[in-house]
Amino acid sequence: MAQTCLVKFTEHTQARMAVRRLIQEGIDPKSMEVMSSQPIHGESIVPDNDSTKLRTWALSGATIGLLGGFSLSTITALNYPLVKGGMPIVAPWTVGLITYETTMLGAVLATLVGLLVELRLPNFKNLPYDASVVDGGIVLAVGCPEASRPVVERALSASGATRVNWV
Amino acid sequence: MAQIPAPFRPTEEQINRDLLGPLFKTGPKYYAALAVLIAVTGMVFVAWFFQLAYGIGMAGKNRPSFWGLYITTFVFWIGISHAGTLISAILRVVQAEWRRPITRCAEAITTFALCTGSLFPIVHLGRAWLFYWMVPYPNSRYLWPNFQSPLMWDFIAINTYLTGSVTYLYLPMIPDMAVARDKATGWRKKMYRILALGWRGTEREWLRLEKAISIMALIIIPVAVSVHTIVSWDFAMTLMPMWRSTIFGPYFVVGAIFSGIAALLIAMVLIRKYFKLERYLLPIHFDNLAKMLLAMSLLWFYFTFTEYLVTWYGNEAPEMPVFWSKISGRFAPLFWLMVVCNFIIPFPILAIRKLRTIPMIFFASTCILVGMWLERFLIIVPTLTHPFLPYNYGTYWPSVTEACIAGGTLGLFVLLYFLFAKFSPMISIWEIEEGYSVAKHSVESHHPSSLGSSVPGDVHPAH
Repeated sequence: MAQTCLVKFTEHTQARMAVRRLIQEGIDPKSMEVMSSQPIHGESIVPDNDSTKLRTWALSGATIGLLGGFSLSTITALNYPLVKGGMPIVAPWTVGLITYETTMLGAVLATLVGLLVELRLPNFKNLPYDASVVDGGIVLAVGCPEASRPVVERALSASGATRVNWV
Repeated sequence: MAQIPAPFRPTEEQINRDLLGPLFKTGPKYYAALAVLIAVTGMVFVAWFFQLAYGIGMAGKNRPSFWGLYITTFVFWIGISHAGTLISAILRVVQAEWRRPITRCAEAITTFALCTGSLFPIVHLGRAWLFYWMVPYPNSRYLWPNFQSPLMWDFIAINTYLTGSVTYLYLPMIPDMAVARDKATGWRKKMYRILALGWRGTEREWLRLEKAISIMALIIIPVAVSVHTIVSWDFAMTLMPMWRSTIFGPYFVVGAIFSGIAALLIAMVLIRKYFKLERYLLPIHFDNLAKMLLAMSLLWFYFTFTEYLVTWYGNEAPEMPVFWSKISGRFAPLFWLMVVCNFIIPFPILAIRKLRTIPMIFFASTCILVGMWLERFLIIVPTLTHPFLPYNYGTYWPSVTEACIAGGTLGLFVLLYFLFAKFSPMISIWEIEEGYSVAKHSVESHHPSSLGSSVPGDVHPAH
């Protein structure tokens, strides 16, 4: 049966060392998560954690907004062609303005949606968590089969873990 | 010899305690202030109710001045909204370390100033209950809103900015909501649990949150500039004297940032004092913002001077009555008061280092807010009362209803800000913690021997 252990460190260098040792012992990095009260700068502790497609989300949203705004301001004008203030039916300035704003709106909304989708938030399930994170603790959560427990404990104790809890 | 105090190096626990404290402790002063603010806000809605019941004539609008205090106050609040998100975004993009205690206060100003300001076009409508006609959808005759109208540009630009600002305010709040969730009890815990969305502070979450915030910062800067430019085009796209100006866009943006920074400084002084955050909002934060305010004061003066000089030199017949009504006519006292409030008083206070103390910055900022409101008034009313044809000249005097609604929105804005300050830390907890870590690592890597130094603030995130 798979178990999760929560390990508390005081420094992120210890967590980094622990993760390295666990990977050397054959534990899958995908089963590890490092939690902290603030972003940890530099190379990510758990490998392959830093690839994100948020820029693509933002650009896609901007493109949808651009097409939407352009369509809205041109098709609606052509749909009911009334001359207003001597301007052309499809006025370039108006189309440009509306398109600009909807492009930005699309990018904003897509970035938000992209973030929530990539992080699978909101998520109110009981995932591994230790509330000492908010007081500055750095917590490593490792999921592993019960048979690997001694290996994990050995690797963690050698890395300076202050507390190891199995949940 | 006076002993140099040890630098303030709080632990994460202490930061949580200090910054979450105002959320969980509420004294009688808060409730008393809340009651006053609710009463002032109530006045706005009672006056608006009378206007709806008895007609738009209650607002004192008449030929030729159809825009009075409502549009003045609308432009004023939209201007105030520029401080927050724009300044926060610029400081984030340039990675200014001293931004950390400021960003939340600033972003909240934007959101609530926009909410307050966007009420005015609705209040200004004769039949306010039909405001949803501006929402882009076709009516029963398949007729869509007229996108060629600057009113529609305002509607779309302000809504884009509001959506962006709320998102930009909320994203950095998520980790703080998680801290509040872990520290709160009872109904508050439930509320923060929902607002934290299940945030756990994993490395994966932090990386993506930081990326999202940086993308949002880049998006929000051009949106903020576009919004006030579009508001200026409400005027500049008409053929009214002293409105049809090519510099109105940047002139409005400069004025908006100017008044926005002043509002931010006032909010920071009050938050610092009443939430006892002197250890986080340091004199250097006020000093840096005051220098920005000084630069904006000079820019504002330059734009105003240019605008009036060109009008005077052009000497066009329809423009000169408006010009002289401001310089030496009926509106002259307000015009010169504006110059005093926006330049004569703030310039020496902000330029002379000895005068640039927190109480003096507060005083200068208050003058600037008064001056900038007058500037909006002086752009709108003198032009409307002096249209092209002299037989159309008129006068304008605000009605009681109009004054109650326009003035009362100050109470509405403060009320919204006040309530927000009770459910979110006004200083971003995780950004402060990150700032201390960044400063500590910087000191360790550059001056390993100075870790035990007693120079105040040597590892403060502000530096």
